[in-house]
Amino acid sequence: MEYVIEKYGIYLKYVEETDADFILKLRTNKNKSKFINPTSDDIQLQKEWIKNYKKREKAELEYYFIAFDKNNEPFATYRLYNRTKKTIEIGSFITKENYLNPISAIKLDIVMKEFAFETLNYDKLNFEVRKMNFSVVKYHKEYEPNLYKEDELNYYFIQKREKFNLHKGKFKKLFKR
Amino acid sequence: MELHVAEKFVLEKIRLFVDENDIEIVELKNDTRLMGSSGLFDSMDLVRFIVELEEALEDELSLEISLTSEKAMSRSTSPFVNIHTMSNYIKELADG
Repeated sequence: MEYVIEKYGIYLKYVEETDADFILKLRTNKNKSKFINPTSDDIQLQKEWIKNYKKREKAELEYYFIAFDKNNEPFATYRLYNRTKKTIEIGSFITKENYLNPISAIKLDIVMKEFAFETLNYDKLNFEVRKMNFSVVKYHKEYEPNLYKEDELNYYFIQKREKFNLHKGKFKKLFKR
Repeated sequence: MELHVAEKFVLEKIRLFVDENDIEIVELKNDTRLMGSSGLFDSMDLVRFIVELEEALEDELSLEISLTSEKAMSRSTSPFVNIHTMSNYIKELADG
């Protein structure tokens, strides 16, 4: 398998059409789907979506990853999208239900933010979180993002690089000792 | 370290964390599951709790230990199954 990123003991590869089933299971899980945009359970539509994504990936406009742990178990997805010269958005951060290594999800979030800030060299990134997704909202707030908008459903944040770097050590120490 | 001391410490820190974070609980006992479908925490809350617990162990008991080392994560029974397994793992690390 061709990994694009290997860091902190997790491995990331770009999403392919053959991953449609894995993605669909994640996105249509009854507990996970409460906090993400609705997804059709039609696998052909998912494959078509990935086919179109691959064009954006080739044009370096979007990066959609599946993350694997050291046992080669795929455990989550993560996407960087809406890329412009100055901003990029993160999302599709979904971890498999009942996955038993809680540190892997944090590793993935940190690896992806480091990819945006260090490899792609952005100073800030945007993300939205469902207001009802309490634990994820609280986790993101540990990095002091700026809330720039909210509506009935979501909070909209901007995460600045310096704030991320200031606070990430608290979580990195869980896997960097 | 006595196991009951570790259990009391973990229980106290969990009570504080669930209060601060408005997490609904019925009753906290040593066999209360911490993770999984019937667990007290989802993965994000569990990680934030572990950060706070490690800090408290260092600040209040002068125990500088890692609850999330490779050794911990590869144990056949995860330290994060319930309050007892977590307390027992803290006791093991504290006793060296």
